[in-house]
Amino acid sequence: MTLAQYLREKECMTGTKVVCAEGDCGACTVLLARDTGTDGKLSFKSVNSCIIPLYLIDGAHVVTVEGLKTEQDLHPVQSAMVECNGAQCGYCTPGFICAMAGLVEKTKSDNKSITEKKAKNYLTGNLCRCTGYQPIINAAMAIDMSKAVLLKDRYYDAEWLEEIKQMKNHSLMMNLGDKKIFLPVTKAEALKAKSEDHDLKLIAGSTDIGVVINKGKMTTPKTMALYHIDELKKISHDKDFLVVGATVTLSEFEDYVETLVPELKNILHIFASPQIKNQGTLVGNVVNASPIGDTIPYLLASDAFVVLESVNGKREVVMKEFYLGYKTLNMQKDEIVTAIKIPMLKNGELVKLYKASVRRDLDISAVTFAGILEVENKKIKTARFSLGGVAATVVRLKDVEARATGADFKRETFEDFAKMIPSLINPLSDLRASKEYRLKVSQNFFLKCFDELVTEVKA
Amino acid sequence: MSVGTNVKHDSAISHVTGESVFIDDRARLQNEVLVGVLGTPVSAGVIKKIDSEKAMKISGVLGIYTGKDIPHNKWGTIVSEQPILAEKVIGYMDEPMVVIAATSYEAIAAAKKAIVVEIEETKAYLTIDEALSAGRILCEAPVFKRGNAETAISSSPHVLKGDFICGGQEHFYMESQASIVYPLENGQLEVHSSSQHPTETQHVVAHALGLDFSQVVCIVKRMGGGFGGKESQAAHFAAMAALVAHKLKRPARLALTKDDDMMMTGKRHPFKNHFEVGFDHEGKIHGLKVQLVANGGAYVDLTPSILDRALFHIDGCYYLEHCLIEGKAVRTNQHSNTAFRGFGGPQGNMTIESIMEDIANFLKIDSFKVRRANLYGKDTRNITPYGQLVDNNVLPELFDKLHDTSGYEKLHKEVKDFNQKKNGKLRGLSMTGCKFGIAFTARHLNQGNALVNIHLDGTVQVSTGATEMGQGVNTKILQIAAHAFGIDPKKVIVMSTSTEKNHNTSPTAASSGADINGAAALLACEKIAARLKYVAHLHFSGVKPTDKDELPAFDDKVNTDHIVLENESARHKGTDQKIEWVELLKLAYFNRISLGDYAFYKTPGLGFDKKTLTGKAFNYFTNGAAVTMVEIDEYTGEMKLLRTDILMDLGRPINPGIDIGQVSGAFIQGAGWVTTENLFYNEKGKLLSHSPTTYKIPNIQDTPRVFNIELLENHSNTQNVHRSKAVGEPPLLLGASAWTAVKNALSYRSHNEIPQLSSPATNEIILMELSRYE
Repeated sequence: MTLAQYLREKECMTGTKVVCAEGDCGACTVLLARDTGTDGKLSFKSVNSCIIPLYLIDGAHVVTVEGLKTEQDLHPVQSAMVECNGAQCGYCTPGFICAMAGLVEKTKSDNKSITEKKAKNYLTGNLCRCTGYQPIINAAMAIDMSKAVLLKDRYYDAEWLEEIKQMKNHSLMMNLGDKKIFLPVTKAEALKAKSEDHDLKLIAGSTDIGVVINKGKMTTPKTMALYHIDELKKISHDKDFLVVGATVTLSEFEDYVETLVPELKNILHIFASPQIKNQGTLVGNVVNASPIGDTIPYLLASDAFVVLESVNGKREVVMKEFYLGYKTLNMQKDEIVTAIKIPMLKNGELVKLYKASVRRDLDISAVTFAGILEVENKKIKTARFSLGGVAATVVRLKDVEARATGADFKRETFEDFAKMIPSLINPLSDLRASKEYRLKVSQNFFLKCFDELVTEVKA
Repeated sequence: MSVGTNVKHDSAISHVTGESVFIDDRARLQNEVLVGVLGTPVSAGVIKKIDSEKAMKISGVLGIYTGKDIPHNKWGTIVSEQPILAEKVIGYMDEPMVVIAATSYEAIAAAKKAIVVEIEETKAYLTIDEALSAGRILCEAPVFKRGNAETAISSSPHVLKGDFICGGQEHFYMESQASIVYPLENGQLEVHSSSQHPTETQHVVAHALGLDFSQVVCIVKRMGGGFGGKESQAAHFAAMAALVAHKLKRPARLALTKDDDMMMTGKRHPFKNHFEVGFDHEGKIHGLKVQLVANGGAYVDLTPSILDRALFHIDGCYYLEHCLIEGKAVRTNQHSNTAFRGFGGPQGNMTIESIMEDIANFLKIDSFKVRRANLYGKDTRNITPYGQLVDNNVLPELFDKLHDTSGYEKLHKEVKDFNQKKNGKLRGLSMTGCKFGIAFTARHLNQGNALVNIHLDGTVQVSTGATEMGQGVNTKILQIAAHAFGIDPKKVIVMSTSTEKNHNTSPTAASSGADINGAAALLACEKIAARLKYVAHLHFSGVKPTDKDELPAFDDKVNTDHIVLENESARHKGTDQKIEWVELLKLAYFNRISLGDYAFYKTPGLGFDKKTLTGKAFNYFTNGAAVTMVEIDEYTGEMKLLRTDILMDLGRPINPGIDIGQVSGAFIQGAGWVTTENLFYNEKGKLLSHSPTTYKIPNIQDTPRVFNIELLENHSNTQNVHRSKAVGEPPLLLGASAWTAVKNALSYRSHNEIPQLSSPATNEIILMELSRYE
């Protein structure tokens, strides 16, 4: 049972709507607080309740649209939406309201103000078919922040927080008829469980599996979720590596890399909606192994490592050896991915990451591209390229890299790369794009890469 | 005075708090049954056998029904030919075939897998061309002919020929098709449906089950969006739920998933239109021939009317002196295409706007000049191809004003300069217009009725045939009522639409909801107001009821022109005597003068002669224009809207705030249709883009970076309630400006060739066209 089903069917709280049941429309958005921030208070983030299994909210606090107004007053987000005609048919409205409340929660906590850009970014995961969005944008800009009582303050209860903390110190095994769910609190427990039962399916944010289950294409009789394990929540870096733990969400990852790898931040920005990024994890994106996984081209090009652990020990596999074929991984049955280790960019390394999709934001890619280059004295010193969406896995372009090394840094060189592409990849035609389009875009990305780099290299 | 003010949407508060109740939000009753629908597995074929024996044994499954279980398994708004459940011949892929009643969705899913169907597959006709060459004509439109197009074209300085091709569009109303049916005593049914047409839903349900119309009540509180998709196509899903309720004598709930909804229901009609146009050096059209072909899908549905409207809008905003316009629709093995905001109008209008763009590209002059040269005139060149006078024509001032306020010439120069830089980005600019005919082209639908009840505390309930789908029709009607009584709009509620209060209602469609139902409500209010003024007149004149005698009965011959209802009271304009609203109501009530009334309205003056194909097809026209600037990434073909300026002529709006929301929503929906919304079918005719993951409606980042919407001041529309104009559909046509702007952008790289562009202009279409120029 998903959180949305529970709310609607068991609690009869029908403000939360389900439209697509795949996390793509935002009508089911609720606010979820799983952890406390530095202020010791819960940090509420917008998530898609339609794809979250109920067991993934153990020890969390959920606020739905019903919980935003007080006896007397509408939440400032609600007042703004009323004033600006932000609701027409009303079906998407509760989702927008919750996503906007998430915006207020974050912005006010950071002592910042809402800009139009920020508002749009927070609402990228919510579809509306009536308004054309302009009234909603106007509403977001009209929110009276001075009147906003933050949910983390309004619902603050020290006793209850303590209770949650205690709850999270105990691992939990649920046997529900033919279904088994395990929520360990230590890595050792998790590894042991996986070694004892190889069929135990790991679930992180459920942003992909949740969809597959909803559409009746999969059942998950035995699952394990790692979100109570503190050490897997960590993200850190030193001069060599950025290490991202198994349950670090894409939002946390995006925030963390903002200054470290701005290009990566940009691609994460259009990766998915805030709701999805608040649930989904980097490790989930890697293990899901989709040929169109948006983070993979960079990880592949940067020779990142996948950290695998089992009761028998730990090993690190470089990304290009991790994918053996379509959704086939270099992983033992008892292994768990506990982290991704991404090499830090060297001084002078330039990065270009691109994504082409039918709609720019919140869309699954047709083609993705990553290029990491060093240019010295008008020559390419090193070059690493990868492309997604053009084969069964994201691919490294070794032949192009070989040709690039030592070549002149000029447009003709990149045009030459583009010419090589048709012989190196053989993309498919599907509903997102034709083979011809994928080829053409793959080629053009090399030209774009040069056209953009040439100004940076000069500078 | 509430008409003309920005009263908030009547559901605004309950929408933002999540308290608004939609069909599937209704609490489940203890004995309620869930209803699922199994679709056909092929696009064309014959059903040999449906074996549900195994499926019936699944725990929780209570009933499995096929077309054979429905007494009258045929429906259709224009022609009764579409099966509610495909019984023998399969019309399209995923056509409803089996209805499953169960206590859980898990049981329904299991039953779907366990039902065994034997099918003999036959050849499917999936495209317009395939159907045309097989002679599968669904209907033909009357030919619009004026002057001699042939001669005018051949004697023109320039001639262009080509095809305009546009795809379909999924409605993507957020609330998928949904109905709950409660069985009542004596075979009666109470149907709650997300329907734009409660009367048709009532009729289809009753007919299907062999009930009298009077035994079925259809109630519509609201819809989570409709856009035409619930005009005809809500009815048969309600009938499926009704079938279960009728058979099992238990409440039955049918709420389609988004995937099922997208696969099973009809969409906007794709068109393929061939044109031949003759024009002079200034771009003025001398003669035009167009043959329109629509993909009707598997069944007639509303296709003939939609095709008619496409023909009625082929002129766009432009005068066509010599023209020959022919149209037909073909029958394919696709979901039966249906009403969608604009109803054929967008496909007709966009054809001529595409032609305008082509002429400009051919002559290498700016497209605004071409459009301006062809615009309908005020005193001359003001008769449509079907002989209707374009009276009170505001198009010239509207085009000129927008040209000015948008800074068109400055933008045009900016675009030109920008494109010379060749920095991997390409910009385009275009202005298009709309002149949308308001009225159902089926004359009998231009009628409505309203019931108004005033209660003794001064509050008012209004019921009409209009259904609320977000467009704010309830709000406008309550404003009209509040205005008529001179009271605070907060005192007026518009009630759920129900076929027991309002009979034989027309669909809430053709942008006419507020026009027809608002006018009917006003008539009903005026009838009551006349009596109240009469009571006030007596009161001010010192006539008092006694123990023996009540006030004299209402006499409509008594002049009450000196009485005005305003500020919650009645006032004598001469003496300034006043009586409070509630006191007045009490006085009327205790003297047995009715506080409720009912009225009937029909749009006057419509007179289109179907034999001569001339006359007043429309009550009036809603006009508008939009300037859009786009930017294309030349590496990927990705496109974004940088700026849109819209100027709309909405007469005197009843609620400008609501109307501007309609304009922005319709424009974006139109822009989506012509850019990212791509219906993708596999070779077997299966729709693969059946959810938002794969079917891309615009999201918040797709709204133009700069988006200005202004309304033109126009007090001339005496033909409609409070001189307002209908707004729902017309601005959707302006979305075409995004597409013509792409065409304009491409012309900067096409080496003097006229860009070849079909709609939707997806990234792929754009990039492939760009690479053709390399």
